Amino acid sequence: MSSCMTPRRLPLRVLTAAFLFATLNGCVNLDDAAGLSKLSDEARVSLPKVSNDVAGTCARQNTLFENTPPAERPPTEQAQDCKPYQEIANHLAKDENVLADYFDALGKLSSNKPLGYDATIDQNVTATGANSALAANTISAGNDAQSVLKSLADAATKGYREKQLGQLIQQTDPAIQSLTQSLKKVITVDYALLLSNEELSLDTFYKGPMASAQPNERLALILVQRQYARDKNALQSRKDDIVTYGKIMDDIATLHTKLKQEADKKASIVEIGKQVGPIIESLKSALSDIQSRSN
Amino acid sequence: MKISPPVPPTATTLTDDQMQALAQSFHDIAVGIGQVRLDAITAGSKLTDPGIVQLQGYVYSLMNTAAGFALQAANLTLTSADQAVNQISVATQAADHALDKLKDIDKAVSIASSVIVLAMAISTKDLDQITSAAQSVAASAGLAT
Repeated sequence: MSSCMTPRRLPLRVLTAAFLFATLNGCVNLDDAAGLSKLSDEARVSLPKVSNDVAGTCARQNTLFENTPPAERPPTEQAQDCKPYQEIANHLAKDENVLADYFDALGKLSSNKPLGYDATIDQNVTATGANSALAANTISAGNDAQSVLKSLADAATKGYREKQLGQLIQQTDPAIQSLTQSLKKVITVDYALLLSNEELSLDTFYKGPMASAQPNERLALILVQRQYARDKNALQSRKDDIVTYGKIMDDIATLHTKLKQEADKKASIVEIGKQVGPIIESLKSALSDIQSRSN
Repeated sequence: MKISPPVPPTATTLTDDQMQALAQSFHDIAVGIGQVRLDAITAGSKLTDPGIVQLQGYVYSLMNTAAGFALQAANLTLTSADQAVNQISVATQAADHALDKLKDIDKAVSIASSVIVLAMAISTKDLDQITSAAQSVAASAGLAT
C-alpha cells in the first residue's frame, strides 16, 4: 500500500496528520489540493441546467402562446420555432463540457494520471464547428472551446505528465479567458433578453385576463393570481441563475489566472492550494446554488 | 485626366454590442405595446377587440425580432452600418418614447406596424429601405423628420 492513500472516516486529527505526512512526502497533488476533478464533475451537472434553458424558455413561451385562445391573437401569428434555440443550447453544453474536461484533465495531469482523451476530443471538435447563423458570442465560445480541445489533444498525444502541467496552463490561458467571457456574455446578455421576453409573455398571458375578470369569477381569479405568482417566482429563480452563472465564469477565469501565475513562479502545491482555495470554495458554492434552485 | 470612380460605401458587420442594442430596442418597444394593450383592457376593452388582438400580435412579432437579433444574427452586414444603426436607434427611441403612457390604440397600432416594417427592412440589409422605414417609425411616433 502506498502512503499516498487517504484513509476514510477517520477522525479529523488523523486525517490532518495523514495529509501533512503525504504533503511532506510529495504525494499531495494539485487535484488533492484544489479538487479540480470534483469541481469539473459539479460544473458538468450545474452549468447545463442554465444553458439548456435557452431552449426551455422558448418552449415555455410557446406553451403560453398556444394556451391563449385563438380569438385573442391574430390568426397569422405562429408559435416560435425552438429548433435554433435548441441548437444554441447544444453548442453551449458542448462548450461547458470542454471547460469541465479541461479542469478534469488538469486534475489528472497533476496526479500523473494519463489523459486518454483522444476519442472524445475528435468527436467534440467536429461537433463544435462554427455556424454563421449563431450570434457572435456563441461562435466565439465555440472557437475558444475548439482551441482548448486542441491543446488537450496535443497534451494527450504527447503523453503530457505532471511536469508539463504549467506548460498546458500557460498555452491554454488565452482560450480559457476568452471562453469563460464568451459563455458569460451568451448567458448574461443574450439569454437574459430571452427571459425578459418570457416575462413579457407571462405578463401578457396573465394580466389581460386578470384585468378583465368579472366579479363572479372571484375564486377563479385567486387561483390564476397564485399561478401567475408561481410562474413569476420560477422566472426570478432563473434570473438568479444568470447572475450565478456569470459569477462562476468570472471565478473560473480568475482560478485559471492564479494557476498560471503560480505555474510561472513554479510555486509549491501547498502554495497553489492556498492561493486557489478561496476561489474553489466560491465556485463550489455557486455551482451548488444553481443545483439547489433547480431542485 | 483620369477620373477615379466613386468609392462605394463599405459593408460592415454589426458588432455584438450593436446587435444587442438593436435586440433591446425591439424588446423595449414590445414592452411598451404590451403596456398600451393592458391599459386599454383595464380601461374596459375586451381581449377579443380587433385593436387589442392586433397589439397582441405585434407584441409577439417584436419579441421574436428581438430574440432573433440577440441569438442568431451574427452575420448582419450593412453598408454604412454606423449610419444605419444611428437611424434605427433614433427611430426606435422615438417609438419607445411615444408609447409611454399612450392611450390611443390606433396610434399604438400605427407605431407598432411601422416598427415591424423597420425590422423587415433591416433584414433586407438595404440602407435605402432602412432609412425609409426608420423615417416612417419616427413620423408615426410624432417625431419631425
